[in-house]
Amino acid sequence: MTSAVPALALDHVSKSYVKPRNLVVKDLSVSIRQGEACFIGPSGCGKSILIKLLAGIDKPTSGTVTRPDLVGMVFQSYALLPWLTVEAKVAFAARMQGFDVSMVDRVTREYLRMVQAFAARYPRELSGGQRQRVGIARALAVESDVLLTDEPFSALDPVMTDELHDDVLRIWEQMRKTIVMVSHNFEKAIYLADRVCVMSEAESKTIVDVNLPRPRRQESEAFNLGVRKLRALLEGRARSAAADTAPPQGRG
Amino acid sequence: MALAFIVSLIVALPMAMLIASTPRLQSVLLPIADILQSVPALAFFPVVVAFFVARNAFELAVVFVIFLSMLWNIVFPVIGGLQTIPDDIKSAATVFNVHGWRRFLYVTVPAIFPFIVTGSLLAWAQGWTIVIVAEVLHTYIPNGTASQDLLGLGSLLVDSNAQAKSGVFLASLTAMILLVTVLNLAVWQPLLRLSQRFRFD
Repeated sequence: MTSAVPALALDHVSKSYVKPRNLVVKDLSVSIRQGEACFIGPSGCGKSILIKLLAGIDKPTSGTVTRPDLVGMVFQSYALLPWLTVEAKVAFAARMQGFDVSMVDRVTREYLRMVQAFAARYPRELSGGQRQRVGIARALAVESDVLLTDEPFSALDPVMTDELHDDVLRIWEQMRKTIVMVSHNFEKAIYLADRVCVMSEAESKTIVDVNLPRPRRQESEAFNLGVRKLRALLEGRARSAAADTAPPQGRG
Repeated sequence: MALAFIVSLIVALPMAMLIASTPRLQSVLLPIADILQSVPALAFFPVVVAFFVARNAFELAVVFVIFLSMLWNIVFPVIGGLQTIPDDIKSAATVFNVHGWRRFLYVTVPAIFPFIVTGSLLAWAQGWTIVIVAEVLHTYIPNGTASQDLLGLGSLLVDSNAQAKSGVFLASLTAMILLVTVLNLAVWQPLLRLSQRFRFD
């Protein structure tokens, strides 16, 4: 069940940088409804900037970003403080939100269950998959309705990636959070998301609704049709972009 | 020397943070700091002595010169340390609502801790060199006498050597070697080991 109220929205958002001069997002409008697992990608430039805009890490050059004050975020590089144990890290994330002591205890206990086996360890003592589980537990500990993830599993092996994708799916099914995931993987986009926003360099987007029942079977025809549709969209965009920049024929 | 070190630490941290705060500020302040650190601390000594001795503050004159010699040894490693904090760690701090003083205490200070330790180690090494010369104040005071020197290992070493008191000289030298060794084993080595926990991969 999804709500009609957008949890996150970008309204005519553009983002450019002066040094080096670069327009990375151009006039993008996307509305992500509450409770909806939404996937943004795949493509080249602009995806990670988009997540940063939604996370409040970066500000748009123009346009408006609607977001809750508090969001959880999972980073590609884990972004874990090396001097805190796993348990301290989850508690720290909760404490920084101004929760009272009992709430910090409750939240820490709740999300430590995901990473109980290595709660007393430091990040350098963990594998990549374990680190990313800690990243997810920490992101959940802020108790936000929105969870943003920026290519969180791209550095992991395929087996671990599948496991963590299933974890994310379970979190979405149990908590009904709004999950925005940046990825370049068509299959995972169709597997996880209800909506896929296909972006290409500084262009506006195409939204694809994924209306497949869950659990989604990757061997089904409908699933593969969705993947082919995303691929065609992206390749079509790449072709049109190449045509736009190709030198005029019959000159020179 | 301990007082000079504490003052150096208190001054060095905000100074390094200011220099590293923005690329523009860094492009202006870093060359200035680089020039200042190239000037030997003892070059300031005659002026410092004249200023403090006129106020009868012999001890402060030495503390100030040791402070000058220690300061840059901490400032530059800390600037380097601030630049090694990964962008994603800063982004995570923003997302997880860690701002202002909380970011300074819980993220910045631990992140630069290994660099503070390394800088402090260098600062103390420099301090030992300077203290030997700095305690012998009378050589910097016009018509000064040995009675104006500060009592310490530095002045004992220099004065005993000048007066050919080899027993005192050897005892002072042994005491200094022992002190440096004990400090290294009891303070710096544990701190260096601890600082490994604070390093980013």
